[in-house]
Amino acid sequence: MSEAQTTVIGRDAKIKGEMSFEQSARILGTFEGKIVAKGDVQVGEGAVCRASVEATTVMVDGLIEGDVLARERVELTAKARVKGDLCAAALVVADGASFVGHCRVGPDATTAEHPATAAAATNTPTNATEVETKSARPARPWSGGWTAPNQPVVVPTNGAWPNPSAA
Amino acid sequence: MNDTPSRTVTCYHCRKPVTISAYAISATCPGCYKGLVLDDLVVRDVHWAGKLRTCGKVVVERKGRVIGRLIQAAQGVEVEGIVEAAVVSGGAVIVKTTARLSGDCRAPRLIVEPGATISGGHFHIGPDAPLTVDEITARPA
Repeated sequence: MSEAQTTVIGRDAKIKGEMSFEQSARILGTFEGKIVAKGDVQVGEGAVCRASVEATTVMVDGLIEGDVLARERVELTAKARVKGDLCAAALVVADGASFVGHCRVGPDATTAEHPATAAAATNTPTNATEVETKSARPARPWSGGWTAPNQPVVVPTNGAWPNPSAA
Repeated sequence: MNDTPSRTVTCYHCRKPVTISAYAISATCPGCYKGLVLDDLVVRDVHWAGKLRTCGKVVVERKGRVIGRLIQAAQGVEVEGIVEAAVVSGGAVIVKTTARLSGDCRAPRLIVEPGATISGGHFHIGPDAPLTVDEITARPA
């Protein structure tokens, strides 16, 4: 991570909101919200990051409480503490690191839906195919056990069923 | 005077320490009177099992596949093949390049080699990871 292109959030900074970086970022203070970076994100030792983090590479020395999405790699050092879902192409965990949450790691892991967005997506009307599948299913034929809709009720007389074609 | 070398393992049923001979490959816990598997388990092909438990280590080789509810190993788990079960380990869980792990995982250490695939289970990694299996086994398969 080159210093010239890295944005540093200092040790005494406390920020709430959403931050987006064109390059890399280093968090040394306290942040709450959401971080999106096209480059790398490093959460330094002593830093507290209650945020979802999305970056190419995420290096954790401090605390992250939130979902982490790394397009390439997540590195948890010995002092790292992560509580949240993790999604990355590769994962490096040092001895002593702590991680609690759901984990998806692999070359295809980042192409799938992000855990945070997946939860939000369940509330959006994305079940169009499912609805279409249900409507495409042909209606079950009437078995005669109950009155079918739009059908006249025919009561058998003299023990014989009327012939519909004759009527 | 007993000069037989001994070692202490933790019963995976009742979590009590058990002192056994260093050469033993199985034992009975004096606390809960249940049998203990002490040697390392190596899975070389497909293995369906509800629970795979040992006081040693579990190794799933490249062509090995474990389909079950739980792998519990006191000294660690090495995965080169496919594991579709929850993993509770007292040692490091090593997920190698060719491995696929789908299931929950509790271990003090996790080592993931490049190319390994982990899909979606709940992980609790760290020195404070609880090594109890009650919640995992109580969950429907």
